Amino acid sequence: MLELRNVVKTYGKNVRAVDDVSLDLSAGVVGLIGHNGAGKTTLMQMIATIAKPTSGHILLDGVDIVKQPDAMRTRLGFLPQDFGVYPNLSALEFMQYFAALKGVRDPARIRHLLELVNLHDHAKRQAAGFSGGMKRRLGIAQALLNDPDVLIVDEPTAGLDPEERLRFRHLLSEIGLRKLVIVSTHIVSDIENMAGRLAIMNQGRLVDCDTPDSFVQRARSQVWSVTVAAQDYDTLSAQLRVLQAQRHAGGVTLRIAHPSVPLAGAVPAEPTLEEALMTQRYAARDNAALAA
Amino acid sequence: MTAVRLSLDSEALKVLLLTEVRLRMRRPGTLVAVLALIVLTWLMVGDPARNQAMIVSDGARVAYTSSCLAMGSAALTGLFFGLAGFYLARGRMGEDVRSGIGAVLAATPSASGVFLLGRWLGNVAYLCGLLLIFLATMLVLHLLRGEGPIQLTIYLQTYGLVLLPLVFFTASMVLLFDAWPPLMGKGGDVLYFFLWTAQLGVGATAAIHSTSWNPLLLLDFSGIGAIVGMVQQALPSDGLVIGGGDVNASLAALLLPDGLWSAQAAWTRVGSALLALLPLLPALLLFHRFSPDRVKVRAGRSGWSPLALLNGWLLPCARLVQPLFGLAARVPGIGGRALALLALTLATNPAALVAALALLVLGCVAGAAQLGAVIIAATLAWGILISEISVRDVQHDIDGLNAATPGGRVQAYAAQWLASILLALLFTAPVLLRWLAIAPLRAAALLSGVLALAAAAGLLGSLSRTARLFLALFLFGIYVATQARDVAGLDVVGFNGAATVLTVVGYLLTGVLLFCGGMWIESKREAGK
Repeated sequence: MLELRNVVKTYGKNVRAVDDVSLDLSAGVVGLIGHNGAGKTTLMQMIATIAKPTSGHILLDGVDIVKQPDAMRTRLGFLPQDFGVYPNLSALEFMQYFAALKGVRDPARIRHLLELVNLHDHAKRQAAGFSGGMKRRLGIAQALLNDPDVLIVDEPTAGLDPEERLRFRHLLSEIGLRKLVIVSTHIVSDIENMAGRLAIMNQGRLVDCDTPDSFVQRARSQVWSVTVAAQDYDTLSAQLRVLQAQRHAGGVTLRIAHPSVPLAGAVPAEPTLEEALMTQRYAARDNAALAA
Repeated sequence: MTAVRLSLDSEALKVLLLTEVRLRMRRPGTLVAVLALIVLTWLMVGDPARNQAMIVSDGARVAYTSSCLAMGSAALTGLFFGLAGFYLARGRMGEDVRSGIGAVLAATPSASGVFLLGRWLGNVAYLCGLLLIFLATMLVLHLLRGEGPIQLTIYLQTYGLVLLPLVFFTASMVLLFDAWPPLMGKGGDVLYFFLWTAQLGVGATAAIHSTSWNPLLLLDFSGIGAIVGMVQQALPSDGLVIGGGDVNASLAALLLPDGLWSAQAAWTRVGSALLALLPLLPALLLFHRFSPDRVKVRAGRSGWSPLALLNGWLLPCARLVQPLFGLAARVPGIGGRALALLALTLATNPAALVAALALLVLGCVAGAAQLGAVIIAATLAWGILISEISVRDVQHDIDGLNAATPGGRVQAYAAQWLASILLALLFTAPVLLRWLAIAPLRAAALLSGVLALAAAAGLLGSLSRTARLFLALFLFGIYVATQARDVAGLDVVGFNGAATVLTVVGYLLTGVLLFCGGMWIESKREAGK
């Protein structure tokens, strides 16, 4: 469905925000993961046709969307990270505005989407007065106006309360059953239960792309659990890759990333997705250090 | 397929237009503009019972017929509407960039041409809406002070032919200045002021120096040249004043005939209207379409402009301000806060620091006769700077941070006023001291004018949440004041030497009143009302 071929985006002479990324994506939820500045937003802006790659191709069903952006725009829903609303415009008017821009003429579609995101009771209210979560829900409603084949959402759950976060994930999962949903985030818990694939970015490069299960599978026998005395914690944390530390009456229980038994008494633990990704990152760093 | 596309485009245009009008009409700044427009309209039409007139020809009053009122009011509106309308309508794309909506707009299938056309039509509809309010006010005034029946067709014809080209020009320039990143910021605001002044000059030149048709009239977007030409033709005179002047009560009132518009004059206006569309072409070609490569969120706030570029080059000069931050930290209360704001203003505008140093030198070495000119330059630079002091926090989303500091919003507002005054003193100190010695009234005018303008900048910024409302009125005021150098009421800061004790006291009281109004609004905001 969506193919990225050697996509590069440079700023100035030296900054490679996206560095030779190639990726094939089909229907389903894809999690784009990376720390701040990894190049996720730039990559998504290029897929959304609002920024052009310095080189490389992005193809949607074989059509180069860099050359023919409308091929993507007619099938795209986009919710950027810093999405705001116009002052003095009601939620309904806001939706009508974007419906016009997307060529959506069915008023029932707007009503349906406002119901879907649970804003139908607030349709006549000024959107600027909405809470952060409500604005975000309005944002996803506008992104779904044209029933997009490709939905791109950047940091979708920023500012949402736990209930809204859950609702949002559920909604994206449902859409992902039929459409391609690209979710960019650095919060792993946002996508661990809905993403079929995870694309990991670091310093502009795509370092890995696999299913969440595969990441967890690969991290098995590399995550360990051990309880140590509280006074030993500082020494151990300086020597080992501590993923998590929880203090209790009997000492401190540590979860450690390590390719073999890190210390006496440590037992293998079932890694979470976040731990699996961290383990992989540590391993990559160690390999790089070794190579250097 | 084409029919479907056209149908979709026309539907999109309709909603785009509607949204633009809604967004702009619901802004508090529009309410302020409408009130200002109504007040200006009332001031335009002087009471004939008090021997006041809108058009005076060789000392004789021109009777308030539909023709006179339509021509006079269109000419006067043409003078300022192109400037005020520009600043009122401008900034929508910056708003899109700031809010993140720009990225969504860019990702829609809507063609850039359709999008820009929608924005342009929105600009036109908004400006026409303001003119309709103006027309309604004029009709009410005609009922009260008019000297003949209301002839609506004359009003519509005159406003249509005079003001529509101006509306087209303003709307097109708004679009161009919003579509091309280098013109999006404050540098664009200032550049437009000079363009507007130039087109006024072209119109006036064409009217004064031509006895026959002059192609320069095509560039007379404000219509001033066309009106002066027609009134002169109908009532030949050696001294024509539009906008009020000395009336010789012993002379009988003159009658401006109806049907002044010749085919040639009307077609010239149509030509002007068409020429006013020309900026749309570069706007389309240069449109950034919210590409992050061309327009950043930062640029949406401060603007990538020649001024920003200059500030970038002069950034090392900002180090000179560092001690001021230290001093601000040591001074308690509102004084320290005002000093910190002053330091912030100078550190973020190093060009202002250089200008202050230059003005300091000029103020010391210039001859006494040149001090007025130094103050004009200082006031111009100062006004541009203070226009953003009261809106900076809102535009950079740190309004809440300020409200949470000791003293809250109210103290922050007062500190902004004080910082504006300190900035004025920095720009004008040598001249102020010299005037205190040789022309105390001018020194007093300078002080009271600074107080009043600083208060106006704070209040208008607080109400409209944009720097442009104050900037438009300020630049227009400066322009008018430099053209009418002997009018005491216009000599706000004493640069013409025409201020009187009465105007000084008047501006002092106005300043205090505006400041108190602003403080009251901020205290209401602080109380969550």
